[in-house]
Amino acid sequence: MLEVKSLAFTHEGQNQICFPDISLCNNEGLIVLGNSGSGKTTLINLIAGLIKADSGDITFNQTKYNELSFDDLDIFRGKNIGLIFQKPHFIRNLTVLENLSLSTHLSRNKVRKEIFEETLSEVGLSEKINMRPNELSEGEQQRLSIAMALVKEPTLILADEPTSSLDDNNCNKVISLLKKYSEKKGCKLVIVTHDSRIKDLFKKRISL
Amino acid sequence: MNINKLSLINVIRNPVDTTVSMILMSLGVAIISMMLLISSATKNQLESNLGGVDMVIGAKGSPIQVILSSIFHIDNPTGNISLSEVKKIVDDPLIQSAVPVSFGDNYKNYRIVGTSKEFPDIYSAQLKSGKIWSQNLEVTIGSSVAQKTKLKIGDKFYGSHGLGSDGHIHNNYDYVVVGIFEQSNSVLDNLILTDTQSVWMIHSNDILENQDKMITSMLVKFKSPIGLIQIPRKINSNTTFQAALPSMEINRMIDLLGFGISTINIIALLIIVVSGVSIFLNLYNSLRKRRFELALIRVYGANKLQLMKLILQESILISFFGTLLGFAISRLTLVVILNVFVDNHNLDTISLSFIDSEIVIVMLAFIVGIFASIIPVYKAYKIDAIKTLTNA
Repeated sequence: MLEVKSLAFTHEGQNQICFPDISLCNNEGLIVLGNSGSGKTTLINLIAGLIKADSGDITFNQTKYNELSFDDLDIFRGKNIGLIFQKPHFIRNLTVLENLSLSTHLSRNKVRKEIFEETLSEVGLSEKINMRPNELSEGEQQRLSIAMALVKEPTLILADEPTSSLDDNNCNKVISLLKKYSEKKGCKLVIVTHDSRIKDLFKKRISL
Repeated sequence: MNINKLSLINVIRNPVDTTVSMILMSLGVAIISMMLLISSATKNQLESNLGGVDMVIGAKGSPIQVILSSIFHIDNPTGNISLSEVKKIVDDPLIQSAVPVSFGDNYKNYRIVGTSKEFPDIYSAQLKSGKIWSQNLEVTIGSSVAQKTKLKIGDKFYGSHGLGSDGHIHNNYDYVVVGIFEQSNSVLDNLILTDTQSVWMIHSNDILENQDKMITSMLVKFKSPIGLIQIPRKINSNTTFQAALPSMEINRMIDLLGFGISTINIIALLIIVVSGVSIFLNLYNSLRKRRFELALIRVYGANKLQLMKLILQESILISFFGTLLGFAISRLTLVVILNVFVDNHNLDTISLSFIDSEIVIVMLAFIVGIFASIIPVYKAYKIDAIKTLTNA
């Protein structure tokens, strides 16, 4: 269960942004729509525990963010939350497999090669396991970043514009991957987007 | 995969970025390490060549020259001294032994030394085969002489006059090899020993009938330290000879040598500092390229300390690999120099194993690695992971 109540955040030198309340059960997905600058990414960062709100509460599976320090939030995020960025980033000197291994290790999850291989085959990257990320195409990179988020088996996935730089074909692949995973594992999904192709993906929708 | 492995991979898989720093570091290290190896070998060599000699009596002139010629056999002697005169001096209860040394000839640049049978004892030399000379014109040769000239027991050869190879050949008398010494790692390995009488015989044309018998110098060992205090002074003020003290002259030589070595070391230190600057620039530039990576590592769950550790380790690894490379280069260079370019018999026995003083270089490289990373580590600390990733 993810609950967000009367959340507000101020960027330096800007007006305060107030966010609508959110309540999300397992298996549920939420689409967050809004123009650029409306605070979509800020919302993702708040829920991810990367920044702290001015006021309001975020509760996720009985854990209240307000009661955690930044270090605890780092650990909490590492264990429970899968993050997907608009533009995928990887460690360029590491292979696909090593990237998965490093992120899993740093998020204090068990490093298991079978899981990596299984996840990579799910996103269709089995063949690229020993390649460097910059040798992959853009669509493959975005699928890899999904694999990176999925290997630690999160219960919440936060995706920031995951499809905006992808063509229709890759866009469909990414979306069906995310949906399939959240149904299989009972995982909550929050997708921030202004991509009209996916705005009707879930029933729950908020606009900022 | 963890932070430690990542720092290693970042160093190894980025050869273009790290090689220049590593090579600079290795050059500086190689020069200092080479200086250390040479000076340590030189010191050992000097000390083992001293054997048990406390004092050398020779003709007046530079004391350093007396030591160089009579003990290290690398310079020309200052002149000759009268055997009967010097015998009066060494007939003293404070003197334990006195070994005469005469030379003037060589065979293929190896000096032929006329002396007494106590001479090998100074270097605790053992016979490998054959025997010590017993008759005129019989010689016993050092191990390097045997190895390089291929002289065997029973072989005969002519000596050539002087200490260089271009002197005229004494072809009226030939020497015969009767024995070969074991390797002693001292100057003895490069000498051809015979009795004093043989040297006189070969030069009999040059010596007038009624002239006093001359030798080059006398190697003296004292019974007690009191001899060291009294006798040299007595000789220097009362006779036409001079007494040179090897230990004192060696210290003077090391001081002179030390000046050159420290100048070279300063240059090498500068190279190491430059390598530190290069490591710094390297990390600093790569930080700009890797801002996203570092932010990503933070978002994965690493804390700021781990991020700082990553950069610090990369810096230390580069200087460490450079140091290892430097040690390898210094040894390889010495091997090449010794085998190809230098025909200096005295450096044959240089040791290539790790010497204690080299630990200073390792520490130095370590410190340079730390200093080079201070600013980049601070930069990494200041990276705002969120801003970096979301403003992409």
